[in-house]
Amino acid sequence: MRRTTRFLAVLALALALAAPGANAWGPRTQTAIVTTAANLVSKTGNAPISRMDEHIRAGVALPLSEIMARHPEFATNPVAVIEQEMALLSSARRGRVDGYFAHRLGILGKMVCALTAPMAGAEVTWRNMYYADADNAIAGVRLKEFPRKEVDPKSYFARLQGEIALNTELIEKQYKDGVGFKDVAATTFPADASRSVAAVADVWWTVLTSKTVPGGVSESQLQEYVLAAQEYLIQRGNLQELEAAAAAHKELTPFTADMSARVGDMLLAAGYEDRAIAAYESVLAAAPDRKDVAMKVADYYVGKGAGLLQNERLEDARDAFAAAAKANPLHPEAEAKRLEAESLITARDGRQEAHRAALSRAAELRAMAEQEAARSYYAEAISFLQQAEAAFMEVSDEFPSEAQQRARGLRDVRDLLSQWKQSLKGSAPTYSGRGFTDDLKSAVNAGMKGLEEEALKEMAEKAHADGIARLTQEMQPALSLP
Amino acid sequence: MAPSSGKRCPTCRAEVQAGDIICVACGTNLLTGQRVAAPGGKNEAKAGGVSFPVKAVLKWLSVGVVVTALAAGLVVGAAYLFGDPLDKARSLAAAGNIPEALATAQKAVESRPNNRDARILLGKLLMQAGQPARAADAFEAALKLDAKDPSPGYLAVVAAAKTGGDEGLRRQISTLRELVRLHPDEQKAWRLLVTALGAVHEHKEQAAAIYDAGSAGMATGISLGVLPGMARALARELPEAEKSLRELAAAAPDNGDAQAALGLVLSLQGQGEQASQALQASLDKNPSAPGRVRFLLALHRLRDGAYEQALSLLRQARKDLPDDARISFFFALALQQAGLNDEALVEFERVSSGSGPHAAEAAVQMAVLLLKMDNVDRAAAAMRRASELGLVSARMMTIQGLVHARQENPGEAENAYRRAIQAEPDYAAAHLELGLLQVGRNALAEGIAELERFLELRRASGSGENVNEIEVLVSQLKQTMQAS
Repeated sequence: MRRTTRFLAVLALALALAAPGANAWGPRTQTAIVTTAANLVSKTGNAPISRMDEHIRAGVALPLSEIMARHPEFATNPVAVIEQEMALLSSARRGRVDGYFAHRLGILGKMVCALTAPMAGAEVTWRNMYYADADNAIAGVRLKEFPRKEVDPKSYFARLQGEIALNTELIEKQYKDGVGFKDVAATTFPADASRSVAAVADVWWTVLTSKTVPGGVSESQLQEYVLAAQEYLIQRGNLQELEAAAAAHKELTPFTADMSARVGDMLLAAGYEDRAIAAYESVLAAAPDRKDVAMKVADYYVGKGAGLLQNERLEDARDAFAAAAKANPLHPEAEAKRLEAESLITARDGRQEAHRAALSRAAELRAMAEQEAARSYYAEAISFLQQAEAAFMEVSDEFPSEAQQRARGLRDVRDLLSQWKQSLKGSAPTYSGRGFTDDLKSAVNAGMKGLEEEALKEMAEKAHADGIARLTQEMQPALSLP
Repeated sequence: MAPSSGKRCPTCRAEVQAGDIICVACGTNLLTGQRVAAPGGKNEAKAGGVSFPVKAVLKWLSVGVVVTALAAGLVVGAAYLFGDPLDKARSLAAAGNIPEALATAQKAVESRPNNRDARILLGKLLMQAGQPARAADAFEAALKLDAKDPSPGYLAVVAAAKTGGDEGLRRQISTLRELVRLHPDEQKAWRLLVTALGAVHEHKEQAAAIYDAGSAGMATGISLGVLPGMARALARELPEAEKSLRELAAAAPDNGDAQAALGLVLSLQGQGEQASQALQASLDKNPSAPGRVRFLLALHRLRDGAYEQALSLLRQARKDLPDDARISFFFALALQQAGLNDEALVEFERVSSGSGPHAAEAAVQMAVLLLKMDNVDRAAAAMRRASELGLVSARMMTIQGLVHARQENPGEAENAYRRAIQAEPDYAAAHLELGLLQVGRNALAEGIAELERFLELRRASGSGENVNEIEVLVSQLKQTMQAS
């Protein structure tokens, strides 16, 4: 008989566990259970996890469907999953009890809640009605506190399942009869909830205090834990905590290049580009043959460079393209883009230089104009000012400082122009005498006329005179008389 | 060329002339071979060695001396009466009796017209007597008598040169033509012919002579130095002259005349900058016409606006050619352009008070300077001086207008400007002054029209000077006119 009873109990447990996804307390009840369990565990003084209530709640709030997706065997063998998770978290505790650890505790708590909730074998309708009623009633329930026990999941949960299933049939019947949550359900609810609280607290307490090093946790599980922790912290945007966690996680399991690359991906996806690139660069430092990472770095820099280029931050863009080319010399665009940025810088510098030259020329022309005006030569002064105005107009809005100088210069030049135009008519007589400049050339040209021939003739005559003088000297002895 | 008979005494080998009877050196009768008197030493030995009474000896000795003297006198007299007239002429010339010697030589030529020595001696005597033209005739005749010796030809050239003037030159040319005809390998003669043709400015002929010299086997081109280039230049074959002179200047970089001639040719071709370079280079190498080269270079510098250099060159050119009044005018002009107005004024005054070709222009220039110095009265006086010197030009009338304007006589000024425009419609300065005068009188439309004419003329002449400011003035005046 006892064997039969035990068999039935195991069967019931198996059935109850057959669909744990649908078998769980309502959300408010789950939260209350887990929060209470956290307080209980914190009270023991071993792990003040209640301070990480936020993370625990976040873990509890994770939809059961997601938990099922992460652990598909939870549907068929939740105890094994809990046991596995307990082992993993016990191992992870070696590193640091941080926010993510608390989050995982929350998930673990949710699993335990699911496993320890009553009505597992009831029809879904009555069961859901019960959980909904429990959610409404949880605020006023006084939960019973039990001393902490170390949990061996298999035996622990097998023992609990008998207690949990005890009133299921009666409660279901009363729901079918329309009694609802008034009679048995209401009276057994504090005990059922307290049981769940105790189970969660015991599981956690076991995880947090167990001195034995759990076996069966592989390096890859630890790596996955670490990566999940990184992802969790990255998504929460708490970079300070991320850095602290990363240091602790390195003690838990060494960061492989692949892990760093995945962290880089997470950071990049979350918008932490500098950190992502630092992560990628650490990968490349450790594994220079990781072409995929090199390509990601190069792509990142090319993308960044393109954005900078669009914002006309040419030097930054050039540096970004150079970094891309350095990360992946074979990148199809990086070097070409770098050269393009260089060429744009050169062109821009050229334009700026031309603008500065135009400003300088304009200033010189204005100074010359003022000199002319001081001598009452207003036409020349105006001519110089108009040239200065044209020089100022060569300056575009591209460079703010130069554009400002142009605006100031143009204003001054135009003011002077209007003043001097008024003075011009009265100064007309000052131009008298300027028409004679060509006369000098005419006089010189007239003076030159025939001068070349004169000189040539003089040279010709002298050439002959010299010849005759030489001949006379030569013939002198022959001319002398005896 | 001393005449030589080639005859010698058979006893003592002393030179004797054709027609001599007794050798004056040893007393030998050249016809019989016997000596007229024994050498003195022998007589002395004879006197010392014979034991005669002293008186008798002295007597015979005296007789001997007298006889010897008579014999010698006879010989000399015979030689004088019946000897070579050329010797006679030489003797007369040696004794300083040139007219007699000349007459004797002339007779000798007449009696023996084909005697080359006689003609040469005659030529020499004529030269001595200051008759180079006749001397040249004598030498030319001698030249024709001996086809082997060109020297009489050169003597004829020297004689012709002595005659001077154009006639002398032409005479040289004809002699030289004959000389090169008879002696085509005489390079000296060819060269002289080429230079002589150059000196008479027969440049086509000169070029032909250069060609003939080359054909005659003489080295041409560079060996004739600067002459071919100059000949071509003076014959107005300028590109060919430039080519020839460039080759010469490259082959003989120290030849100052080559550089100078090249500069002159380039200047004639209007290549001012290159001309200036060549002329400047020539001045370091002693060209044969340094004064004119400096003058021309100074004018180039003046035209280019290098007034200080022009001044320095003109200062030296004045020393080279002190009689050339043109240099003083341009020197004053350079002083004015260099801003040395006081010095320029002094120079212009000096030039204007002279009678040189630029006297009137210098007076006008003085007026310009004096107007600048606000000395209107003296400016007016300077213009009167220009007028007295007979200058009539658009420039002069325009400056006269300026003087009137400064004397606050705008009507006269306008008349002067209009006369200037009438005299030379394209004289830009007159349009400018008239335009400015009209603008000053507020006759904007007329003023603008004249100013625009000024701009039009300036642009047409390719001169951009003062165009911009007048353009601006016109543009502003138009705006003012439209606004009003």
